[in-house]
Amino acid sequence: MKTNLKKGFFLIEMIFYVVILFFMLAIVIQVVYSIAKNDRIIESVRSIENSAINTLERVSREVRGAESVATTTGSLILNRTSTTTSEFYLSLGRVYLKENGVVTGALTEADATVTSLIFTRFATSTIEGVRTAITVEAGTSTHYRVENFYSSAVIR
Amino acid sequence: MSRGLTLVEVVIASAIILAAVVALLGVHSLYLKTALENAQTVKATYLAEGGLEEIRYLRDDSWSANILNLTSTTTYFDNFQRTITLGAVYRDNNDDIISSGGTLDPNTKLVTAAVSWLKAGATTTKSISTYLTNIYEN
Repeated sequence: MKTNLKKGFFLIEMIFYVVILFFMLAIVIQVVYSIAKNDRIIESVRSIENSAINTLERVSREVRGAESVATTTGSLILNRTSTTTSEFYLSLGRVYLKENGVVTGALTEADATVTSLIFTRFATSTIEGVRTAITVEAGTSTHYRVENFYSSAVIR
Repeated sequence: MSRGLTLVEVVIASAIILAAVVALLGVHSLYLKTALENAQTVKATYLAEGGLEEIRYLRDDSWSANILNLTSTTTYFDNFQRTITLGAVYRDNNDDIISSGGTLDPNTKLVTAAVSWLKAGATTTKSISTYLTNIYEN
């Protein structure tokens, strides 16, 4: 009789423990899942930021050091000196830099896509500058991100 | 007599573990918030830098026509508000810039580009500034 009572009590306790452990497991799974999801979002954001910073910084520096702006339609071509040039252009969603007609490499990351790269020249008879607008996207479905960046630079 | 853990002990132990997990989650959420807001900061930085470049362009074009009487200009980009302020600059007898008193130098301006945007319900502002002078005497 006494043994039977003890056995019944043990079973109820076991159910309690199993329920508690089940809830804890559910919470832990939720946490791990959301961390994994968020990491993919952060990865998208980071590659967008890196691509935009690389492009805008390089364009600004090249413009400041340039002698004149050759063209801003399609791509941006700067005359560094009378014989050297640098060119920024969009190809298959990535921004590339050409120095003196030779491709030196991509400025944006492979997992980011540049959907729009617009250069606008503003000038008077004595001074000229370039305004850059760049739209970068990365990721798919829930971790898809797209951002616009703007900057300007003036020839010194 | 001991048959392992009692119910109370299990509840306490799981409460402690849960508290630790929740604390870690809080840290992660702060990390996430910071990481996602960074893109806005990068955008604001380039808008502010671009703003100073545009004022430099106006300076190079003509100080007397563009800069001398300009006090501020405000433009909007997506969700950003950019205000460029041109402040008067005063110099002392040694021609050093001082914050108050002294004589007004009409050929120098303190240019400040401030970019504001909405972050978590409140307005955040990042600003950068530089002195511009009438070096081309135009």
